[in-house]
Amino acid sequence: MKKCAVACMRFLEKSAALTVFLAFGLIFSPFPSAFAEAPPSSAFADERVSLPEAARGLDVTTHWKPAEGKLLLTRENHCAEILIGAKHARIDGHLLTLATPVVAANDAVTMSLADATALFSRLLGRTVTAKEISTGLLATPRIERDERSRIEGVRHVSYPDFTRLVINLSKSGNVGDVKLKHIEGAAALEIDFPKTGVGQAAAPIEVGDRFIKRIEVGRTGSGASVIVRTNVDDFEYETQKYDEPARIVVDVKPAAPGVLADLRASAHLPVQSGAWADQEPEIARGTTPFTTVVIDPGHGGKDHGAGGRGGLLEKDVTLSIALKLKERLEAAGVRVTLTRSDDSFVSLRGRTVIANRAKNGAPADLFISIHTNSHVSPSVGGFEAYYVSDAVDPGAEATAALENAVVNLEDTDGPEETSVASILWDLQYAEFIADSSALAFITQEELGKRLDTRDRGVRQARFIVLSGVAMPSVLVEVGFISNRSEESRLKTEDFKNKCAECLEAAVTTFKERYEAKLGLVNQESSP
Amino acid sequence: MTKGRSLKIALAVLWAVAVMVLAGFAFKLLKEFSHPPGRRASVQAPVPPPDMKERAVKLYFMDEDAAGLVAEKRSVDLGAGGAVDGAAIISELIKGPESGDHFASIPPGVRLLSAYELGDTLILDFTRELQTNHPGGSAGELATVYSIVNTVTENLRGINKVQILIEGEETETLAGHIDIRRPLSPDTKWMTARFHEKPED
Repeated sequence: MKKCAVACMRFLEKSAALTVFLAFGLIFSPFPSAFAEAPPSSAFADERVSLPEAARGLDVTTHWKPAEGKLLLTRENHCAEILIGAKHARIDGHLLTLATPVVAANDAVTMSLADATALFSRLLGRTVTAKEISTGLLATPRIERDERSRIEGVRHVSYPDFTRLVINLSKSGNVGDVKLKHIEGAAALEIDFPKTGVGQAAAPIEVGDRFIKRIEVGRTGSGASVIVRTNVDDFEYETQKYDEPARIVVDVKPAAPGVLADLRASAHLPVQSGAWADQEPEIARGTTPFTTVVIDPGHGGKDHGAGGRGGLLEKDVTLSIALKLKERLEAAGVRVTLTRSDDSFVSLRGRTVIANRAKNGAPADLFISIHTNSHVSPSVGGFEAYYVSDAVDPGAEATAALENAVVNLEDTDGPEETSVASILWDLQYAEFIADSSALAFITQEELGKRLDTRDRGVRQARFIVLSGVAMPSVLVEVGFISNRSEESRLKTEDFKNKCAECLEAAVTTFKERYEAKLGLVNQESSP
Repeated sequence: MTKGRSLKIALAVLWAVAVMVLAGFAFKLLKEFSHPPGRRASVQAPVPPPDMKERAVKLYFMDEDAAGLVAEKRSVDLGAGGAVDGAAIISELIKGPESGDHFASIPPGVRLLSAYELGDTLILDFTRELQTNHPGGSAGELATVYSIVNTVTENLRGINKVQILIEGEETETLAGHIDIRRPLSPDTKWMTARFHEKPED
């Protein structure tokens, strides 16, 4: 009996254990989830929406942080942080997992409609339907969105009697009728772009000069507006549109009744609906004599530049050659400005600013940057001359300086020629590149005449300092400081004197050609 | 007596267990229903790894004369998509050349922090050593910048430009000469004439 009972109990125990085991197995098997899995919710999951556009439809502000690959969507105190390529977003510090990653392609950041619905619902704290997002998108037709221009940035240049704003656009087409309006009762000018987007959301630009306080770029219903807050209630403005790169130039100045002001105003055409200037008047180039050269000794101060194996520093060699060259040029009657005259650090931007103001506040006639080269292999040696790559746009500094040069012309030419003021500084820049190329070849040739090191030829590259100066420019690498024998040469006064001599000859040759061209121009233009 | 009693106990225990198990099962099913499907499924069965394949890539290093870039062929596992593939290629570039005639274009100690795609631009974020360990000189700086840009754009379909960042920040230059503030397109113009055509290895 007892035996039987024990056997029975054992059987029951085992079967119970088995049941439990089976049941647990069922719970934790992938079966139930397979049961519960629904088919992917139709086209809804595949449809992708552009986030900035969806945001606009829902009145959510977009901030774009390209360096971090991030997009910030903000509404009141709530903020969603979206990382390109990531499968999650962060809303007020909480993670939201997305079904598909956020993708950036063709200038648009997109996410699936399903994810966008979840995201905006969380951000706005209410249920946002997919339909609501789609409807918001439909408010601005797709074709128009893709083709329309965007405001890429606003620059400003302060002049003694007015302030110039340059509003850069992504492309010239479809800007629509740009309207300017003096906001009633406020010291502000509104520039309305009915069919233009805003490239990057930006903080107001604090100008704080004599005429303008602040510039605010913002979105309107289907377009964008630039609000210019002025210091005076009563002001005048003049506008012009230019192509390639597409931009709108607005000059703002206080209202000053007077013959000159009236004449100037009439010389500038106001914005006509969609009409772009076919051709800007060419600047009367080459009418100022060649007087001023800027010498830029490479590196300096905390920036040692390249270093030789024997301890020689690039910054010391370049300064020494620059001082020698200055002395020679001044003896030859050329005015010289150095970007640094001692072992101090000057930023690259600082150097271009000096060069662009060297000739009585205007850009100098020539810019020479002196450097020494370096390579891992100690056997590499020789000299080379570089000029700026034609693939680069003029830097902001150069553009500002060119615009400034225009103002100088305007001041000297008298009222009837003020239209000359609006030059195509891009054409001007192309001319600088052509002159710079000539200068580089002249320089290389002169170096080749006197130095017994290897002629490595003329090259072209995107030098930051060269693209920032509004004048013909060259960067010379006189030798390789990494090469033992060249390093010891670079230490000698003799070699540095030779370098200065070569560069002086290059400047003289360039100046002669420039003056010959100038003579020709004058002959042609004389009646 | 003991037999009948222990049997009863055993049965009771069995029932209790069975009920608990069934309740657990029912709860589990309920949970499955109430929860959005798919999400858990995606956790349990992750997306199968992309089709990774060993592919031949061309890496550009500094030539022995500082006149241009020279190519070396390597095999790299690719197929994970632009940014991941770009990072794999750059890691290979950082290792330096195999040939004794070529020179490393990336200074020692440099690491790639991250890579991501933005349209047709690959953004590469490097550690500060790319600046601080750079020996300087226009020739060396051009080689560093364009070994990165030319290598990436030549090997990755759909990538036409490269933006170099230093520890997450846009930078003016690596060593005081070449403008890297904006995304760069591949360039061979700075090389001496014999490199102007696409270099062959």
